[in-house]
Amino acid sequence: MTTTDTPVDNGVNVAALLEAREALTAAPEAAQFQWRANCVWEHGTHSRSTIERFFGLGGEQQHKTTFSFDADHPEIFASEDHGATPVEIVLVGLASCLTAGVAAVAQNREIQLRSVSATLEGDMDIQGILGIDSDVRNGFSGIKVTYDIDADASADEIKAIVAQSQKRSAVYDIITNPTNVTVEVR
Amino acid sequence: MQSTTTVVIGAGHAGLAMSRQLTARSIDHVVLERGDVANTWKTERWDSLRLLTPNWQSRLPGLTYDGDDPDGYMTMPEVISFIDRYARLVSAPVQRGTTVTAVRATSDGYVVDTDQGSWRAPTVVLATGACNVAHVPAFAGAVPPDVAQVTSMQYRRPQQLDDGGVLVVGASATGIQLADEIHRSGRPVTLAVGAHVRAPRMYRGLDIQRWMDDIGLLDERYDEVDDITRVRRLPSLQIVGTPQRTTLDINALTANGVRLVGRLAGISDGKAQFSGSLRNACAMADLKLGRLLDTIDEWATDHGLDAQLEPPWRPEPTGVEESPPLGLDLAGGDIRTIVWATGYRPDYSWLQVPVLDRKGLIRHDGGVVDDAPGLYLLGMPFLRRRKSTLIDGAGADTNELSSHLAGYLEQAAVGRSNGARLTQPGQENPSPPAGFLGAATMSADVQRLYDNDVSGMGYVMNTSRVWAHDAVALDRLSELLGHVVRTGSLTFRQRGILITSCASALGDSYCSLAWGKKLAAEAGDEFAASVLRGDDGELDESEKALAVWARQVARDPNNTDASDVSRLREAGFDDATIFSITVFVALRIAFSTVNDALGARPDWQLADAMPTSVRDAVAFGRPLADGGDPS
Repeated sequence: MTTTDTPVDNGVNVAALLEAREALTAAPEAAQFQWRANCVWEHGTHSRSTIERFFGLGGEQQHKTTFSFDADHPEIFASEDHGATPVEIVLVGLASCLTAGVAAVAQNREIQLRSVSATLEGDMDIQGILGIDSDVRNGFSGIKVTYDIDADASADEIKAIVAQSQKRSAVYDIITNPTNVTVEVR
Repeated sequence: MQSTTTVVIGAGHAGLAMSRQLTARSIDHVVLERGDVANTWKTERWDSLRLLTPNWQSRLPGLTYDGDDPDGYMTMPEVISFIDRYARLVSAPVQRGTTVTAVRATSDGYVVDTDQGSWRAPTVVLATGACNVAHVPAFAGAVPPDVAQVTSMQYRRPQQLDDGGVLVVGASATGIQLADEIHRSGRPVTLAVGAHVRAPRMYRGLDIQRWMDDIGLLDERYDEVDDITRVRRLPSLQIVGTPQRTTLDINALTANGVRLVGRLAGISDGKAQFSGSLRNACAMADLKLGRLLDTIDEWATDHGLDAQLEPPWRPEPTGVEESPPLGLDLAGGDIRTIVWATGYRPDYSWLQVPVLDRKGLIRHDGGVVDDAPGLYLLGMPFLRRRKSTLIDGAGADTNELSSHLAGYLEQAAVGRSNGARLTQPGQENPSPPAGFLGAATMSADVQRLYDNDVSGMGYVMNTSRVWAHDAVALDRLSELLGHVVRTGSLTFRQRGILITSCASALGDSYCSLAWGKKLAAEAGDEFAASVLRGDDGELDESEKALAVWARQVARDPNNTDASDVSRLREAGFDDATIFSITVFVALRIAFSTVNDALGARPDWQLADAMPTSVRDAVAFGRPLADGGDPS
């Protein structure tokens, strides 16, 4: 029972999200989505991926524009560094997924955010990808995400927002749980 | 085929409590039980299990624990003998050794087929519980064959397992208890931990269940929580009942050497894969526990109890090692047994009435099964309140559902005697008039109004028969009331206080009785009676302020002044809430005025299970409608 002078606005339309949740509960088939990317090899370790279309809500969907992502390796790997490394792009995916979640959860809990920033550190022993030591995995040995958040809320409320964001995050789930991957050649 | 009025399926504490309520209402019934009374407790639980709730909390309608250890926790033999004793006490008509093979809908009720013959009845109560089969994830099939698998329903004691390591999957009350005793037996345990709910056994000198009861958490109603689907899925509290009243949380397990891993996410090539989300699962449980303890501390301070209680404290955050293992080779020999403590599911394989949702659970509104008139459900998580799965939850739930069931039987009888269902628009209203006006013409809106009454109360209210002359007006009024309730965050209890004070000030017996009864169920008979009498004996300061204000608004709104509003502010209400409260009372005055002016008499069904003190406090207004036969 408190009054709020200015309505909380983190720019997330929670009402629309909650409506969508209700609608998709009633029509679970519309909740079946497929996300897609296309990738073209450019030269050396440089490739360019584009994102344009996806499937969801029972039909083909399209982004407002086509998004393009260059990936490469840095010069210390004898590459030309035309873009972020693919593993860095994974960190980008995790960071942006969790941060979107922070905004949405805060909005739903009527907590005004003033600033949110995250630092991500993915540790990797590259003896794995270089095939030096078969006991070392290729991927990250661990990822550390550190948030700095300024908001109208207590420290525990802010921690609870970040925890809930992890609980509902797609990329967090993709990274923390195994996924079957099928790679074929046409 | 035998006939009765109600078939209750299951003679656990819930089915027996329902039997007692039906007997009190003179409703003929039978309780069908596949085994013996308290069968699940007898045959499907492990040896060392004790109730998670203290003895004083074993309260059933007509029987409360009366032994000499109110703070102890019953062993399984004690639970069985308590429920046996209850069955005898209430003279429940239990037919033992009768397995239900099908429940089918017919044109006038249900047929219940059993291995001992069939029963026909207009009403059926499903009291088979939430825990009929152990749930095991689909990937259990990928466990290497030389690793034994045991579910929590098959598990009895550690010695039943091979020597060697054990992977316990799941960390609710079951998982942590099994992990603890198996590890202590010398079989090193790895515990896979997903989402869980942490709680200390004792806090500030009192049992956590005492706290949850005192602060009203266990009484929280299903129609008052934000997301009922979510709370119905919550895992059980991580607690154990022991004579030492010990806290068994993850820290206690790891201190003894149990190894923690994340949620078991899959099994591939004989390797178990654990989620990397362990740290967040533990952080969430720690934060949630912190919020619960904050709420308890605030409540204790508000009630002036700090001096007599131990000081507040906070448990250590759950310790998680720097890099918990993400995989485990099940074929390597370190793990000899997997214990699945991954929850239970109800078994409705015999239920041939199409009432299941896509997850295989029954669709219902507080135990009134959707789209199946006369079918009721008991004992499911958060069925009507947070305590619905506890022994202590059966009393209130069966009281309300048996009242609904009685009303439904009466309504069905009215429908039959009129020879038609109330379905044809334009038809003369087969429900008799309830006041000075004639019967309203039937329409889709009137039908909806009546249907809502029947599904919510079990009968058509006299007020609805009056408002049937413009059912849309009542819809709009209800919408407006709902709006101010949400805007002002008015709880059920606060609404009960406002309505009973307002109605008694107006001399309106109808709302005084209807809400006096609801308030009595929520807050106690004497509480409700004291509001109706106007002495407010049992109310706290904030509740008194509400009652006083509602009476002022009802009696003489021109004589209020700023000091009256100040009193509400001092009671903790801000101006926006005071406005909502006032609009709420004013709308209730409008509703009462229409009912009273047009001669709606209180429904005779209200007399059913009406607390004497409440009835005595309503010595005003129009008398109850003539009972039993509204036509």
